[in-house]
Amino acid sequence: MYSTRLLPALVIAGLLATGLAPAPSAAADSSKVFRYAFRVAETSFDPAAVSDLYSSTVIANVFDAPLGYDFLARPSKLVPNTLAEMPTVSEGGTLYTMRVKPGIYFIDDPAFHGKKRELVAEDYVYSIKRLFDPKVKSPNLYQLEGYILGMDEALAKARKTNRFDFDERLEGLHALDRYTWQVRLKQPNYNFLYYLAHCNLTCAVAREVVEHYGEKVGEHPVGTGPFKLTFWKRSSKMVFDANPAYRQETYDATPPAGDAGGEAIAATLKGRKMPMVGRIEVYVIEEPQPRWLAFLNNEHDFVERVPEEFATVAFPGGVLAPNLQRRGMVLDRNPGMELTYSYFAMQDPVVGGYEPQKIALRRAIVLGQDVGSEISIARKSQAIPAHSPIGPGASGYDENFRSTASEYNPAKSKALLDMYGYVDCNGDGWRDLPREKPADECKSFSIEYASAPNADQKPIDENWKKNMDAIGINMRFKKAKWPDLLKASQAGKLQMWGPGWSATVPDADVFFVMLYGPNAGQANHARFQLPEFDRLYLQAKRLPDGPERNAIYREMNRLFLVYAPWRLGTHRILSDISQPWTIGYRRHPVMRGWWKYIDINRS
Amino acid sequence: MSAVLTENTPPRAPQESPGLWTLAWRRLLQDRVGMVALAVVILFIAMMLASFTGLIARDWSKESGVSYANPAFLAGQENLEAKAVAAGGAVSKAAPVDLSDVDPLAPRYKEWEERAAKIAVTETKRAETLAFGGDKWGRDVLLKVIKGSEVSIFVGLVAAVLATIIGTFLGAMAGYWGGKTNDFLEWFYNIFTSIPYILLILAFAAVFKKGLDTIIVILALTGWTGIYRLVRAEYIKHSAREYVKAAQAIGASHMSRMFIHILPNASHVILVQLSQHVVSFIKAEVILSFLGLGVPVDMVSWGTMLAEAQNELVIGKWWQLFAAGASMALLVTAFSLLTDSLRDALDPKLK
Repeated sequence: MYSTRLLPALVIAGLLATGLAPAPSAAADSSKVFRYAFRVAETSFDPAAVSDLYSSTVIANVFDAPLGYDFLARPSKLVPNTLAEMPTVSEGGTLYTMRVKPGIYFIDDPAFHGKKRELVAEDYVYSIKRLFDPKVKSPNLYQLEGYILGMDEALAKARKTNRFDFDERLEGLHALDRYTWQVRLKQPNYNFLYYLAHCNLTCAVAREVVEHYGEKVGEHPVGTGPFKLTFWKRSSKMVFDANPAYRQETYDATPPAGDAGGEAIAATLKGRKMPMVGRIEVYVIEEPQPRWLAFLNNEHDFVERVPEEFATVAFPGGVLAPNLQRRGMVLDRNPGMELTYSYFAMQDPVVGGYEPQKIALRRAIVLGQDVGSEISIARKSQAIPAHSPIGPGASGYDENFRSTASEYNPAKSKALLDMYGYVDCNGDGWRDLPREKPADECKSFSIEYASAPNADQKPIDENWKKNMDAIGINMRFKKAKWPDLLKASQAGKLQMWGPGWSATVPDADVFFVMLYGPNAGQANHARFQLPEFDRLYLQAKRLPDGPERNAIYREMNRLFLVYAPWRLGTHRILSDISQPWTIGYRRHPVMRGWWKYIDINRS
Repeated sequence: MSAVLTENTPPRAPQESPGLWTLAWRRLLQDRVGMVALAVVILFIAMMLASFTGLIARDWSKESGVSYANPAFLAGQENLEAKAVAAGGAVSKAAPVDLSDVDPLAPRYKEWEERAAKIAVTETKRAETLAFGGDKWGRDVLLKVIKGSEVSIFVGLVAAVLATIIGTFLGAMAGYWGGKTNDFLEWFYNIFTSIPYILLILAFAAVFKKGLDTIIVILALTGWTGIYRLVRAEYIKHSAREYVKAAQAIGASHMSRMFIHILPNASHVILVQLSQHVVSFIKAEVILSFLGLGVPVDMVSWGTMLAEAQNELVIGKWWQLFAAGASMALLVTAFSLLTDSLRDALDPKLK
């Protein structure tokens, strides 16, 4: 799961325009260069250490997880990646056995001392253990902590000695032979198969490389994947060349019936050796305007997530603008499996708490904030209102579920505040805290909303301010850079903040982790702790996707709406545009390793 | 009998020789460019005061038009943004989920309904066009420019006055006393100027809380250095002059020599510096707001307008950029010309 930085700051990377002659289509043609831009800078290339969307995209193209997804199948379908076949699941969904395909090699690196290094089962065992190494401080640990047999004991021991014993054979995670490895879970967990396709958790790194580079391993991505890093200027430019020793892998994807665009892509590319382009150039351009203009000027072959402010000129009403159509561009537009929200710090003396009075304040704020105009004005209609925390398309998502919080109703909001005593008692125009007796001292309050100082955040702040003014609540804004906000939030120092959240596995569970009590301070920024909710969460975790689990999710949604630890925001609609010579792009809801499915054809 | 010749003519009043200020004012009056510039500056300041007292642009934040409403002179142009807003998103038809069995607020649902029904909500009709166009929320750009002038000019003026006071006081101290005081202040000055200006502003902006007063303090604290040097030089020059010695002879205190005798003779430098700093601080406020370090979210300044406008240009909404940019250009040019005329008028050598 990634916290997505909604808004980038002011760094403008240099742009490089290259004109390339058309080349005959061969596998990994080095003259085929695919250029595009990240909107936020990368942080590291160590799969265990990254949790942001952009670094995760890089590692997913450089390293290999055991499983992958069918690129065109919707809903998402898992397929073997480095495994010979899909894992065998036995003992009631607790024992997973994986067999790695022989003959897959890491790229050459000084750490291997000139020898070819084959990918073996032990690499996966080692890579997963690394998440539990206290020295790595993996932000992804919480996804596995508590689920693998024997791992928690090993973790406790490692925390005590500050050294993880990688050589110890663990019952829950070990290699059976050179190519076979096993994971034993404490209880059935139906998301574990997805974890095997999630690079941040299960991508294979080589132990020699980690030991050779030590703390600098994040700068030396040595993987078995289709691309390898060849040039890196931090926060500015990354160049990846096709891995010449990449295993024999041909394009094979099955679009759902009726998906004409997908079928056309599959027909064109089926049977081609991957990767098809020889080089990927990624620039970091945080400001929306230069990123968009670089694409329009053909300096980039693809624009990922067209900035919202240009939506009405690029695709008015969701249809590609005529001038772009004439240029042969292709629009791919889907609601993202993601969520924007604003949380209330549940431990805060003003906005937190579980008593009716505190609930009333949060619910009033929720009713008084106009998500509709946030969508139409601030987000340029490039979002749909969220009715539950679950992102669209994830299993467990119910598109007919309608929350009580979706309406904008300042009258109900004011009525609720009046009822619970949040009235203006000192006459300064702002509502004050409730008093038990009229004779009590009048205490004023204001709410501090944290946000990043970026241009695209401003209209969202303006909307909050306007709405809160209208119901008489004094809202102020704390401005800080996104990474600082993240740190402050994890330390519990923010009163309200609106981070984003993108799914990494196509399942509702990845959204509810943000509300599960024990995750407080990690994924659970609000520090929402409701025993009944936690009980339901664990109960749902033991069930496969289906009506029984959906019924539990419905209950969880209702509890969530009652206690209102967040103001639910939106699910953004993500629009990507490809140049006419970029072939084969489709946004997959969770898979980040898509570079190998792209081709360039300039003829 | 001796005749006493009495002169009937009254004693001649001593010839009033015009003072420094009168002469300067006369010279300024003859400078046509200076007078026009002065008129423009006065007009802007009057506008700022009128806006500050609420005479004009009081409801600038009212969303009176559609999103990006066209300017009145472009009434026929298609407005894609407003169309997109009007189209809205698909609204789910399903009934909202029932929470009453788990909701601690459920016992008071009925009371809640009744109270809510009593609170009237009025919806205003939005205009298709506004005098000089609307911004994304449909606020009138013209009113925004007027309201924005309040922040920009106020910040520029107050910060410049503060910076001038700091610079003049320290400059006077260093120039008049010399010696250790001078050394210490020079050292202090060197530290300030060794840091790049913008970096210094950003450093202050990061430390202080966000707000209008903060911007003023930041600009004043970073902007005094140039004035300090010039005033110090004037004081070094003047403190050895005869008139200062004469003042000392009649027993004038140090303070009175510094600020009653020397100050008026250095005032031409100070005034010119003051108006130059107003110009540069208006620009600095714009830069700070542009970088998101400036005014808070519920206020408007020319800087925030320019920051908003940078992306609007790509979608063809040029009026906000034009309105803010033109007002700023006009005021800054007028102020610069006025400064120029002031310098000419106040320079005693040009008598």
